[in-house]
Amino acid sequence: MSTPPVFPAGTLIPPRVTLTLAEKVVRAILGVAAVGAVGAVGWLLQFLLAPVVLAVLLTYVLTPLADRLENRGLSRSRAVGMCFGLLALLAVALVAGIAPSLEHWLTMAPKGGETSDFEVQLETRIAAWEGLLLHSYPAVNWGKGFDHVREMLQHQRRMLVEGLPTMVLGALSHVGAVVLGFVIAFFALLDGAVMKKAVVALVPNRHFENALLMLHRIDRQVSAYLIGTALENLLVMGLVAVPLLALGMPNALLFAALFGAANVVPFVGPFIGASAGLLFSLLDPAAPSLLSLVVVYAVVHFVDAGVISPWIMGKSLDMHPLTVIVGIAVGGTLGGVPGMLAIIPSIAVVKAIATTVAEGVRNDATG
Amino acid sequence: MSLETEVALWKPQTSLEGKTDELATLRGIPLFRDLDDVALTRLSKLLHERHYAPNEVVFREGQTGAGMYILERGAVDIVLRLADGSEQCVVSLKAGQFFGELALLEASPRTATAVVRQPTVLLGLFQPDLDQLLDRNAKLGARVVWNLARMTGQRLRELSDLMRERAASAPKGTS
Repeated sequence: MSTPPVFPAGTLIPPRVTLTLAEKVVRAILGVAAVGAVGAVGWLLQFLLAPVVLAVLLTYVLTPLADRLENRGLSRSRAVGMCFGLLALLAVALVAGIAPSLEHWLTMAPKGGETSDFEVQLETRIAAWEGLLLHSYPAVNWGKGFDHVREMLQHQRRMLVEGLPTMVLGALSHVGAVVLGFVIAFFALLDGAVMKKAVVALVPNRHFENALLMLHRIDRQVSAYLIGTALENLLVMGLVAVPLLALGMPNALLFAALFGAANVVPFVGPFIGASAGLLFSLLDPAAPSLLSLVVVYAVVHFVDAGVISPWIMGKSLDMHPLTVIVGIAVGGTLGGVPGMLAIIPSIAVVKAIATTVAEGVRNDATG
Repeated sequence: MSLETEVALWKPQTSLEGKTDELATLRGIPLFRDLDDVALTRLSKLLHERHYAPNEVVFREGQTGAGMYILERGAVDIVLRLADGSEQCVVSLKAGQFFGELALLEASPRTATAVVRQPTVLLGLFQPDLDQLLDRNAKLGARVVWNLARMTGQRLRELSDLMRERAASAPKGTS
């Protein structure tokens, strides 16, 4: 076999494209203009934000299921249809489980200056505690302290008993945005791969591999976080629902769902979720004791923090725990609860972009 | 190379004829041998069609690779840069052939530069897509990876034969 001929440098391999300063300036201006245009369009279409966020969540959570169904021989449209069917069944089951409680609460809300049963029950409980302490420690002046407790608990009662059903019914009034979110998610699930390919196809050949890798890294991180969060909170909801049902807690499913939903918010979420159930135990004579509920919520929270969260999120999220803690603190300071929710996926996206850009710079320096 | 040549041309719709051509090309690739049309159609959804102009570089030696390319139309030279900076074309590839498959296994630096010699259409299969295939259709993914392992073994054998042949033809006393 003859050895292929050897040529001087630059004969076979074209040199890299080097831009002049003017070209770099023009590119920078075009880049800034493009970012500005995207921002302006985003601002004009901000009414679409809620449906799009819902669609993204649904798409990420349902994609693995749709893919698995498709690979079992179903057509893509059938697989996606089946995912939405399952989702609808879950929603119907949850609404059927929760609606009677909400209806009951609404009928019990005070009308025209009346005192509700919940208010009476709470006052009875507070009076009983005050009486017990006065009997045991008569030398202490409990009156002032209990006035504060009474005021705080009655405020919380108003928020829970009157505010929660109104809030849930108010959310139902945004049905248009929810339907739009579902429609967008349906098409994203159906043609997501084609859409992604179409976006990547617009990237010039020179940056194509890097763009593809970056999209994949973002996709993997966000998907892992969202699926992990959904799975973790579903498990937590189930873990709370079982003992609450066993203890005979009224509206057990509703309080389990509230705890699961609030658990999405890092750090403070479990306390917010638990406070609803704990307060309700003070209002309803049929509820189990406060202590038993504290034990249930505390045990589930420790199981979540010690076992479920590290097991699910540790496997799915390629991020140091310190980054997560500092990120959540920064997110909470900047944007409150929405900031805390958005910060981890945002860090993941920034990390993926930074890694890819660094690789691109390294590659440009090669060869 | 002008900036225009860097711009990928995206065909919004693939015609039925084009789809048949693509399947025919895939059937001829050893990486996809033994796969039926259903599996090939599923795989074709993962492929990225890229259009290149003459003298455009697909990738350069030393860059981190993300996947392999299949030549659907056109011609590509695989060029090595030697220690003294000179260049050597080790192979010229034609339609139906493929290159860069090692990057499917790991994101390692490319071992040569790929330069397009005439208007060329490449189909790219990339590591993230293969990872996803292994996750979501393990059976099909495993068959592709198994074929990849066999091909890598075959290429190693060919390389050993080539080195043995060169060593035998080299004058005594040289290395």
